[in-house]
This record gives sequence, structure tokens and C-alpha cells, in this order.
Amino acid sequence: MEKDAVILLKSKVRHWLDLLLEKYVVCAPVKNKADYKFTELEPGMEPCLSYTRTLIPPKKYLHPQQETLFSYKRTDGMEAQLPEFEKKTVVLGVHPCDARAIQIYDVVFGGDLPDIYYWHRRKNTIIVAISCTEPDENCFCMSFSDCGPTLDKKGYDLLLTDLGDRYVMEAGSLEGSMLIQHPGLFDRVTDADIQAKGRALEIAKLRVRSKIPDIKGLPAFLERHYEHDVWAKEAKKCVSCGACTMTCPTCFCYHMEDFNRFNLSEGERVRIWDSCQLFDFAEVAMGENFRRDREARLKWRIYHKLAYWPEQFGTLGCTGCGRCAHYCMADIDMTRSMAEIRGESIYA
Amino acid sequence: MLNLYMPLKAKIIEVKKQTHDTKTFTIRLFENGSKFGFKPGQFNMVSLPGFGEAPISISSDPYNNETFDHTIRFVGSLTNAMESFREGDIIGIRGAYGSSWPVDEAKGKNVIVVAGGIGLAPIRPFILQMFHDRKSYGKIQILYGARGSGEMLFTDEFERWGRQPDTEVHLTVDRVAPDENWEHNKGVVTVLYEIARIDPENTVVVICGPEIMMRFASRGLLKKGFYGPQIYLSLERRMKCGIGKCGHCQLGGCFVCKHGPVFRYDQAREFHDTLL
Ligand SMILES: Cc1cc2nc3c(=O)[nH]c(=O)nc-3n(C[C@H](O)[C@H](O)[C@H](O)COP(=O)(O)OP(=O)(O)OC[C@H]3O[C@@H](n4cnc5c(N)ncnc54)[C@H](O)[C@@H]3O)c2cc1C
Ligand code: SF4
Ligand code: SF4
Ligand code: FES
Repeated sequence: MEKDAVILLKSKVRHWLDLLLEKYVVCAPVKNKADYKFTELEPGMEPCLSYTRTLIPPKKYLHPQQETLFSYKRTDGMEAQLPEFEKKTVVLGVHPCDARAIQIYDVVFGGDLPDIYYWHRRKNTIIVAISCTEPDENCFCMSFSDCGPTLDKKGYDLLLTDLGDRYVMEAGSLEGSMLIQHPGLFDRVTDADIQAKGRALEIAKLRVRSKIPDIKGLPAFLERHYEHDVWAKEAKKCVSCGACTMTCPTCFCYHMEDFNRFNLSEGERVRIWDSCQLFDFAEVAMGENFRRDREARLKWRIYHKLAYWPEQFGTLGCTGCGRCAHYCMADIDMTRSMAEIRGESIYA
Repeated sequence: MLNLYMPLKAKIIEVKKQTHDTKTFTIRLFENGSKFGFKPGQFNMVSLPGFGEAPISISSDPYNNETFDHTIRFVGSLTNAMESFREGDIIGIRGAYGSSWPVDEAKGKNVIVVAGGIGLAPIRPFILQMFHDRKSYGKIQILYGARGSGEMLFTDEFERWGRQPDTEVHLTVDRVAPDENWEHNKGVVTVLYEIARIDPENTVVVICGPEIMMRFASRGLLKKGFYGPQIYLSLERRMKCGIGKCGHCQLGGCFVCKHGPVFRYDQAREFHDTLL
């Protein structure tokens, strides 16, 4: 392992965090009732780096649930004010699926018409990922060739892997290596540590049991089964709450709205997360609605992620994080729907 | 990096009533050296602080890059607010966005324009463009239908259009009031296919109107021997950003705001969730 890798004993994590907090805003998962939640750490607050998933993915730091684009005065037009950041933000404890989703976001908000608000935040953000050793029955990251419980060189500034009493930390960028430069705090990585990392990841991989087979053939497979009965059956259960899209780390859709102040002559234009599962998402003037039926909306989400995304962005729109199934109150799970179409069990 | 969400300030310099619920606003930017270029079929995001933004097609002559027109039907919060806007009022503009009518592909060919109601507004720039460059196109037939004669746009221009070389304008309305003196046709826009005697040979068709009307208009053409790739239409979808970011307008692997609104019929037919 190169010199940009170190060992941090768990007993020294608190000290490391305190050093980080001097220079950065640090956000990390903390326990939140039955769940976990990415939260800005106050001094002394303990992150929980051993977790299954957070309800809301770290996308919220790059594409906030609600964001002001600019303020306006009716009389003299509009003025954009990008937020000023005093410190960079370290998002700590990002699982590989969520880190990959950020790479997908970079394409969605990039391209020939880049989104200045996204990139303003993105350039201010340092991603400290952590290999996932706690996958559960909803995870299916192993379906995708470039996914799985760890990251390979790309998509992080620093990557942690839990080795029991210690973390191995590998830098993926200059920004990341700056986080592991404190003399005396870190230990050298030994061969035994490297072997331990390999073992931990092998075990994690075996725990990812749910799978969508044949990802390459997926767009064509889905197109063939557009009229399959399973969609109508799942749509009967769906309540169109939008939880599957709000919690999805790659869903990017938003609507825009003007919020007037009380004097009605000033206000702000904001964007707010929206969901294609909500009734009026595709409604246009004179009441025409191109996805009026719940089945059309349910199918659209799944087809967008798995069939259309490659054409739009050159990757899939899913990283197998399992949130859409995990948080669905109607127990809709697209891996199961696809297994049903194939007449198979999802457990390969 | 440019802030693509920031509208440019623009001033309304003329307002013209089209129908009881539709007006044409002539607009001039006062940023960007006040020049504004666009291709026929493209749209702008029209911005009214306090009311948000709406995608509105550009309805004016593309040879004019000093001013441009939006023909707006008052149907909801932003568009209703536009109703009271007058000369000198300030609005915001972002654009021009989207794909255009087959201005080049149609050269050397006959062109049939099929429009329904407000759908004439997005096609008008293409019609005017062809008149500027009349020699490049063959026969031009404009087939326009509306619910009633009172719903028709640009009525004061039909005579001038009809006087252009080798150009016909055919009109139809769904309903004629009992006391009305209507000397054109009656029935949905496809009744004009019989009157205009249309021929698929070396012809391009552009269609714009409510999606259900475009369904019947294009299927009617197929029955007459047209092929999908000869037909172009403009799809309306909900749009919030106009730049392929907000996700509202997506159809299959396309963003209607970027890859559309103008699509070739055979390509548009591939999408799910359309009425075509
Ligand atoms: C490419 C394109 C070109 C258009 N060109 C014209 C034109 O030239 N002239 C014209 O009068 N209209 C045009 N429209 C329709 C126009 O955008 C809508 O009428 C307008 O957005 C309604 O806004 P509102 O605030 O007045 O209505 P709202 O109060 O917001 O709602 C009224 C109705 O319009 C629907 N709607 C709301 N927002 C949008 C949106 N962003 N896009 C589509 N529908 C929406 C609502 O679902 C509702 O049914 C065009 C639409 C598109 C997509
Ligand atoms: S579609 Fe579901 S499993 Fe895939 S990334 Fe989104 S929430 Fe996770
Ligand atoms: S699944 Fe729906 S909410 Fe998510 S990105 Fe696609 S259209 Fe947007
Ligand atoms: S209008 Fe926002 S993506 Fe097309």
C-alpha cells in the first residue's frame, strides 16, 4: 500500500475528529431513533460509522431538499447570491453506493449545461467514504460491475475500511491525503492489515445476497416486459408517497417556486425536491397528465433508473443501495418484481 | 460557470390581443446588447418574479433579432398574471431552448403545416422563415383548425400568407355559432386533408397542437401514405428548468426541453406515456 494509506486506531478517532473540526464542517451519520441520519457534528458529538443506511442519503449536501436560487425585487429584478462557505465540508462515512451516486450526480448536474449551484457545493465538499461491512437484505450493489461494498480508486477523497479495532485509511485525492497528515496520530499499514481488509470485504460481499442479474441486458429486458402483469400488481399496492425517490441517492428531480415575502414585492426563487411518483409531476396546461395512472408512474421510476439512464448519462441510475425497497411502506421492491418477471428467486 | 437559472431582463414593447384569452407580447432584451437569436420551434422560460416561470414558445419572425414575440394563453397563475402586463413592463427571459422545426431538411420539398388552436404560435416562426426564403421550399399548405373562429390566432395574417407564391391556407373550426358567417370549413383539422389534397411525394409535415389532435393528425397522414420520418411534431411536457436538470419533461431517455420539443414522429412514437 502506498504512503497515502495509514492506520487509525479506533481509540484515536475522537482525537482525529477534533482535529478535523478545527478546519472543517464535518457531517456524518449519527443514530436517529431506529435509523441513521447524516448530521453536522458539533464538538463532542459521536458519529456512527458502523451503520446499514441513512434514510436520506448524503446527496442533501450537494442538492439540498430546498435551496434558494436567488432573491428578487419586483421593481429592480433579480440577484443571485451563492452561499458563502467559510470552511470546506467533510462528509464522513459515505457508503460506496452513496459515493457512486455522487459520481452519477456529477454527470447529471454536469454535461454541456452545468448547474452552478450544484458545483458550488460540490467543490466545497470532501468525501470520506467507508467500505460497507453491514449490507442487509435490501442491498443489491453486487449486481453492478462497478459497485459493491468498497470503492476502487475513484469517487472518494479518503476511504476508510473497518478492521475491528482500527481503520485503514486510503487517500484518493490530495484533499484526502491532507486529512491524514497529523504526525503521531496514525500508524503504518502492515501486510496483516491489508489481508484483514481483503477478508472483511469478502465477507461483506457474501452478505449482499439480493441481485439483479444481467445488468447489460436490462434495458432490453425491461422493454420486452413493459406490459407485464407484475407492474399493475405492484401499482395496486403503491400509495404514491414518493419515499422511494426522496430517499434515492441518484434521484435529482426538483420543482421551482417563488416564495413571496409579506410585502409581495420581494421574494425568493427556490428549488425543492420533487418526485415523479406524485400525481401532478407530469401534468401540463389544460389538465393533460401524461402519467395520470399510478402504474405509469411506478413503471417510469424503475424504467428511468434501469432502462433510460444509460442513454441519458452513460451509467445506470441505481447503485443498489436498497433504500427504495427498505423505506417502501407498501413493500414494493424492484429486484423482486424483476425476479418475478424472470420466474426466479432473487437470491441467486 | 454561467448561472443558467438567472433570467435576463426584458421589456414588453407591444401587446396585441389575439383572442379573448390569448395575447401576443413583443419583447426586447435589455441585456446582452439586446440581441436575441433563436431557431423556429424553440421556446423560452418566461419569468415573472412572484409567479415563477413557464415555458413559452417563440412565435415571431426568426429573421428579426431585435425583438421577439410570445403568444400566451391565460390558463393558470403565471399566464393569468401576464394578462395585465402592458408596454414598458419588465419580465425575465431565459432561452432560447430546445430543438427546432426541420428548417433545413424541408428545403427542396413541399411543406404541410398542421396546427390546432394555440399550436399555431410555435409554428409561425417556421412559416415566416419559409416566406423569407421562399425559393428554397416547394408548395406550402397551411392547415389550421380551432374550436371556434374566436379561438383562432394570427387571423389578420392569413390573407398575406395565402398571397405568397404557391401557398395555400385552409381553415376549419369544430363549432360554428348559429348566427355566424363562416365561409371556411367545419370539422376537426383532419377534414382539411381532403380539401387540400395532400400528397406524400417529396413532402415534409410539421404538426403542433394538443397531443390528442397530433395523434389523429399524424395517424391520418399515415393512412394517406406518409411515412413517420416525414412528420415532425412538438411535444408539450411540464417544464421547470428548460435545461435538462429538473427532470419533469423526461420521456424515455430524452429530456423534451433539450432533445425536443420538436421530434420526428417515428421517434416520438417510441416513447411510452404519450397519446401518439
Ligand atoms: C415547450 C412548451 C412550449 C409552450 N408554448 C406555449 C405558448 O407558446 N403559449 C402558451 O400560452 N403556452 C405555451 N405552453 C404552455 C405553458 O407553458 C403553460 O400554459 C404554463 O406553464 C402554465 O403556467 P401557469 O403558471 O399559468 O399555470 P399553472 O397555474 O401553473 O397551472 C395551469 C396548468 O398548467 C400546467 N403547468 C404548470 N406548469 C407547467 C409547465 N412548466 N409546463 C407545462 N405545463 C405546466 C399545470 O399542471 C396546470 O394544469 C408551452 C409549454 C411547453 C412545454
Ligand atoms: S433505485 Fe433504489 S436501490 Fe437504486 S439507488 Fe435508488 S434507492 Fe437505491
Ligand atoms: S425516478 Fe423519478 S424522481 Fe427519480 S430521477 Fe427519475 S424521474 Fe426523477
Ligand atoms: S424542463 Fe427541466 S429537465 Fe426538461
